Amino acid sequence: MTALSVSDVKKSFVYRRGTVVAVDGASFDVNECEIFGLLGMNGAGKSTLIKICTGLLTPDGGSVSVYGNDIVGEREKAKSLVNVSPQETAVAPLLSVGENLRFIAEVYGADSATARAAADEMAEKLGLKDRMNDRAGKLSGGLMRRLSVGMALITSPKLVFLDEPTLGLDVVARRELWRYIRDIRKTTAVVLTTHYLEEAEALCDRIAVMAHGKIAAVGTAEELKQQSGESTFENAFLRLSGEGGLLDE
Amino acid sequence: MSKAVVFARRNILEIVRSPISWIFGLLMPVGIFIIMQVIVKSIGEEALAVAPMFAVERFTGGIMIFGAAFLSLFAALIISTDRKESFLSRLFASPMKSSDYIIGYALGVFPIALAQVVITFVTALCFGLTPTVHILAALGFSVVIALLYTAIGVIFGSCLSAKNAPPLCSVVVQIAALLSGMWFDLDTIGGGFSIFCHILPFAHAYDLIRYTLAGDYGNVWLPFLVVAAHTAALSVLAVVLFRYRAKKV
Repeated sequence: MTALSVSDVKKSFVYRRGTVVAVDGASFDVNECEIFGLLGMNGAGKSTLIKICTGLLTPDGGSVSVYGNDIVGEREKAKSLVNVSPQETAVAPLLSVGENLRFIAEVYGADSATARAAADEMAEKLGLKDRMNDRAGKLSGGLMRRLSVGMALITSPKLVFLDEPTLGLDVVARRELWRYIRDIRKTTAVVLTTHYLEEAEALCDRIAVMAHGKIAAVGTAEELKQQSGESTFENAFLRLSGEGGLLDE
Repeated sequence: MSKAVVFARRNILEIVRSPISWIFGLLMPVGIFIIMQVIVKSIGEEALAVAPMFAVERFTGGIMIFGAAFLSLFAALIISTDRKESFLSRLFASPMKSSDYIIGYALGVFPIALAQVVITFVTALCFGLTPTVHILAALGFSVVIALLYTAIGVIFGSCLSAKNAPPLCSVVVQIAALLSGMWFDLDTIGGGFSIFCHILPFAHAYDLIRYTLAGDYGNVWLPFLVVAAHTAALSVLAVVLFRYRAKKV
């Protein structure tokens, strides 16, 4: 089943100096239980596209549906299936780790007892169990990042957007999070953005490369290498992003 | 539990756990009240002949308005920080509705508002305020005043950055105190200044509490209607601006 369907999505922003086309006819599907990478250089349009897919922005054209529910027309139903871990850690600093997790669970409709059990389970999985009563604002960057991801996953979403989830994590914490992301794919489709290309290669079933608001290519890491005629994924990414000039120098 | 209540509970915890809330919301107004009353008591009755606004019956109302003005700071601070830290982006992707945010933020400042009023009255009673049923009426009217300042805080928090919102709210606090008539009798200055002060809601809020505490209910309704009208207008503006900002995440 298709978890996320993005069809010819367009979005522009009008500024005094002119119009910036952020997303220009993007189309792709994400399947159930798939880890889907969305890669691109800074300013390629990834964040805008994620905001559209999570209902934060309304597209100028095209459509997005989550498990068949249109993100604009059936906003509430679609949103109840989705969760997001933004690029910034986005935690409530004066709430404890447990309170942050329980808060998000309750916002998505869990009762108090269910939220408490889910928070305990999530903290256990992410290695935050012994920090449950610590204020989130006092955590190290890496632990805060883990909490942020935990807040996105505690609602058992059918589709989750992880925007640079391993930014600032040390290699051990990163590998642990990779293992956890692989684990959740049994029940959840994952859309992952990252600037760590080895992470995308290691985790993602398929990858979309965005350049100048368009989807330049979609496929497995191997398919993208073949498509670009490059032997490494990094070179393939540069070529498909329109930065092949760097390779030819 | 409704999403608005869940969100309000989170906001209450954030506000109550912030030292700023205690320092500015409770210690400062009560401290000023105590200092002024100690000065008046040490000078004696002649002080009140020159400056009747420092009589405990009048100054209690002034301090309530001064203290309540800090509610705008708390609301602005939490909203602007939620925006800055992308906590709002996380919530905007959830099934929460616009009304949940507004109710959640408004209810969030209420415990500190209630604590402010109760502690101000207890302190005033210690300094000779006559315990009458009018105190309960003043407590009721203080809800409208708390809503007025919360709306101002939501407007500032929606429009300004986390860096700019607190200092500008401090300006509001100073303006509210200066133009309310708690420090000097506005009619002694008269003219355009007095008219200007009575266009704004702060002098009316002060009169509302002052007349209520004096049991002068014949004079209560005009200030009540003016404060209620300002509160309604600013609340509508706050909702519009917050919803507008929600689309600009």
